[in-house]
Amino acid sequence: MKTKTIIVSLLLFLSYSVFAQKRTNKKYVISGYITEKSTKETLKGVSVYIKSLSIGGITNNYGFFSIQLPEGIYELSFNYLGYKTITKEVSLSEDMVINESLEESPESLEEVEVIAQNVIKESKSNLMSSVSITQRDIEKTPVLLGEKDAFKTLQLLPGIQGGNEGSSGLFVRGGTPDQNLILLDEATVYNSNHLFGFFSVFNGDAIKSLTAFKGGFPARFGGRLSSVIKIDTKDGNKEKLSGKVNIGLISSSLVLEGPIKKGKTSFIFSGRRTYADLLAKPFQKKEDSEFNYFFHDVNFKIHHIFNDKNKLFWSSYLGQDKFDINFNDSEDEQIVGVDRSKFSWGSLTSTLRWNHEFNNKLFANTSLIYSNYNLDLKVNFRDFTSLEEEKFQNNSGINDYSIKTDFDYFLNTSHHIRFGAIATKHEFTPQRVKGKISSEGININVKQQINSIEAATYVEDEWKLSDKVSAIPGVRLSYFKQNKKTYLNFESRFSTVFRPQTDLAVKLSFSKMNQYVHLLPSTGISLPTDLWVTSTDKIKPQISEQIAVGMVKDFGNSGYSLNIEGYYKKLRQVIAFKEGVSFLGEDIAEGKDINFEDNITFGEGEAYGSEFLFRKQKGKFTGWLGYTLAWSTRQFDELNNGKTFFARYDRRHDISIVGNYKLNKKVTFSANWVLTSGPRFTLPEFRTLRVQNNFPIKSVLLGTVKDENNISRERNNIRGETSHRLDLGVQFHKKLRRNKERIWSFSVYNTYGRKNPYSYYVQARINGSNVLTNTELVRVSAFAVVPSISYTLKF
Amino acid sequence: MNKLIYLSVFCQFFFLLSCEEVIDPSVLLKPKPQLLVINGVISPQDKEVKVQVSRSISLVEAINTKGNAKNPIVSNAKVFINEKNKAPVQLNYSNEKSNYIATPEQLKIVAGKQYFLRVEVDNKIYTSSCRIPTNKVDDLQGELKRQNNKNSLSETIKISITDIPKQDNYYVFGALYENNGTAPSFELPSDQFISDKLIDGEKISTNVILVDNLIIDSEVFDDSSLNPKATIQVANVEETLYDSLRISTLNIDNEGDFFIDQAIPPSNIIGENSYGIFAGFQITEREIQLIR
Repeated sequence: MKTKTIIVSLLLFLSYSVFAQKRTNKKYVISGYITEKSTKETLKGVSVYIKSLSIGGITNNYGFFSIQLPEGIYELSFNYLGYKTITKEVSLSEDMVINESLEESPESLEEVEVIAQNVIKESKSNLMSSVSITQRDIEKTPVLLGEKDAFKTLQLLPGIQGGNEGSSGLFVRGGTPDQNLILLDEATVYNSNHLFGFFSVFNGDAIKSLTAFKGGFPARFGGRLSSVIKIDTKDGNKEKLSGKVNIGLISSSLVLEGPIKKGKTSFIFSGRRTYADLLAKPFQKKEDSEFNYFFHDVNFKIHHIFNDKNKLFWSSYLGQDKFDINFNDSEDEQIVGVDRSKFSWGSLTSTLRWNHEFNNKLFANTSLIYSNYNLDLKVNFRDFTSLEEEKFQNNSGINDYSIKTDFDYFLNTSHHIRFGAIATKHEFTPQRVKGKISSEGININVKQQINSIEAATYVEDEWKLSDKVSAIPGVRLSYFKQNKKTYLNFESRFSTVFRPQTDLAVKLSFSKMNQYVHLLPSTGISLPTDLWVTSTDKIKPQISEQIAVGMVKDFGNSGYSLNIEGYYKKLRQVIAFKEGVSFLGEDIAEGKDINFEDNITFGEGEAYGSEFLFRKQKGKFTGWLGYTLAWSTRQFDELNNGKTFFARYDRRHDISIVGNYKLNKKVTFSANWVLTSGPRFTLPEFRTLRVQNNFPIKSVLLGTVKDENNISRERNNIRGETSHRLDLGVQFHKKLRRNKERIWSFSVYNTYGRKNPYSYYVQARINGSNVLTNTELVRVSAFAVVPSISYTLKF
Repeated sequence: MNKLIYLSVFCQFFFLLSCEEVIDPSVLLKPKPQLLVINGVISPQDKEVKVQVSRSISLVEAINTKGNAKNPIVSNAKVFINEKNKAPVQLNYSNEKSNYIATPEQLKIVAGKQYFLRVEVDNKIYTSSCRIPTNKVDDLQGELKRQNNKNSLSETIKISITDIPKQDNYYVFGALYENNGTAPSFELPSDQFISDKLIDGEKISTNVILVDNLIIDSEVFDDSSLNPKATIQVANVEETLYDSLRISTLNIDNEGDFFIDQAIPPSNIIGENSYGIFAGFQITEREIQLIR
């Protein structure tokens, strides 16, 4: 297999030289940058098209494009969704630089402007299994408590499913959340949730674009099995100071952006904080117990243009959740002791990027990246009478230090070659315990740390073989070292597009991925206590191989498109806790040695299904209908008695209908209707006598003795009830003086109050004599009808 | 303005409150064939060899009868156990003990030996096998302590053992202790079930919480009426039995916690629609006195 990959790579490079030799001397290069007119933000994915030759290209991540053409006169058109098309005639007799700024197309009703709102046709893209959403999509989608959430918008697209009701976790094509590579300005984000998974950490106001790859992964991405979620934040307005203030029910946010030096240096700052803790404080003042929770996040970015060929970006993100519990021990209305617990978790990322244009064909970006995730628990108990004090601190986390270089080489109109390399040092701290008990003279300070190196190099070629056939062959060589154990793996990637007719594309892709870092979840939902661990000599990398076939049809210039895909994914060496093992609470709280390697078991998985997306991206009414039919199974020798079982979020059917209707310049309506098969749960099905009955040592927990057990013979044996809900939203826009705009947004989540299952459990009711009196099956639902309101001022 | 804020907070909490509802179990739990449940744990230290044969009831039935449905004991089975390369011994059913029983004279359980179980019920055959752990714990230490915290009383038993070296061991800890009707209770399942995967031949300790926060009237408390003795226990058990006991305890501990799914207990009984454990163990017990 490895030999074949090497041969394919060599042939690939050989073909480059052959093509290079065929070039005539009378070819010239048009290159440049495309920006947004009012802010000078660079625009990625802009189509640069020469109609007479039926060829073109698109701008890269930093708005750069390069096209090689024979000498002549051409009409170039620059198209980008939501922007007016620019058409430019050029007489090409030497290399040219064209920097263009696109003007946003007003979303109005006048026919002429609607026509000007261009759509890049889905069938023109050489990638498959990828979806992009913009800040506009995020803003329009009605979500829980009015918190604009990029991940919840993504969940409405086929192949990307949510976890429990209200959660922002992503389950892509039968994968798990840890199998998603989430990149925020190229930095890996390990914890993407706030408030125990109900909100994602990404402030919608700071996001420029979000692209999710579900399959057909380009070779430039690697390290996770199921998806790549690439999030780029805005660079900041280079022309004028502008901003946005948003006041919502549970949080408020501020975005401020502007030039530090006009046209050269810009900044953007965005911050968000919830305030339930502040509002609840007056109610808790006189209580002996106090609970406070809040989260905040801050994004900051500076963009500096040294000259046409050198640009610098520095972007950082800090997000934290904090949960405090305070108890006062009182006697005769006097406080005699205090018990304080502080629980905090969050991420910090920082990326320094340097764009350098070596020449009009070769573009490079080099990044220094830092990524951190930390979970911290502090407990402090003080007795004022005995002067005893107990302090306890437990933390776990990850620090990543990366260096990365990516090159874009626009060889000619047939080849756009990307190559590069990345190296990351991972520092894992599964646990660090510090403790002090004054009365017993105990002082503990224990730290576990595991370091590893992950590196990769890749090359891929976006290759136009003919007018009808394109392909993207690529290889990635990944390397991982932990202690004395090393892994070296070839990952082959391939995707191809065949266009038998205009506006119709048939696509095929294959990708192999390796994952060297793993998340050990404590429960079926995402919690901050979930532990990230590294591959070791005992824990091999997880592997996936995915094949996908699809068809994309655009219906003329109407803005309608239909995308159908089928996929099959094989997962190998996937890891899970052994039966009944978790690190939730007990081991961590007790400061016991965690040897995660001995508690892990390895298995295989399979996921397959089909996805259907019918989309309308143009006109007064936009939206989509998405449907997913999917299966996802796992098999572990040491779980479920070795039998294959369905994955927790094996949802058979998933339907999303999303619609936005712009009534006029002032009013926009939006609605989502979602129907999904319930997730799976493990619930007991039988009651049996316990093996303990004849064992001389009795298990007594919390004073309960039982001679019967409720048992399940199969993991994830129950499919929960079908979930569905309707979310409605309306936005009222008003233009104010000095180019300001205010927006009132009203939304209702789960409008008709469907009690969708969050979980189920069996409740045994026992009387004071430890006698079982009743057993019940209980459904837990969250978020019946949740109305929200928010006020936004743009300036 | 304050009223508006408070109203807004109230609305948030109202709508955020999760809703719990008792539902008809048959909506989710589909009918499954009844299981034949066979449990037999055998040890050289036991006064008799016992095997229990019963049938499961469905959880739907348990719920619909409000817990009154009991697991039917199977009393007409034929139960045989034999040591490897020896003739099978048939166990006799005892109505009083609801178990199939053999005395040590009929069937001697020997450390390190392999035993085979065969159960015949309604013309169907169920089999299993086990191996008795070779060693038992020799070094078992314990401390019974009583602490008077002004107006509450707490008692703890600390148990420690020296791990049996050069082999994988799975230990189950416990204590026999009676005081005003209270029984020994572990705070966490992980305090009762400890394996030696991380160590070899070293000391292993655990805590048993006995009585916590027993309210007493005065700071000077006469505890002469309380039991001054406890029997501490440790069993070296087969891995299957260890997993079964641990998972069963864990599942009970997690009952009613909707964040945590039930774990699947192991079964080593072979036969159609069967479930249960046939496993061996060795137990060490020691009486300890209250330390004043």
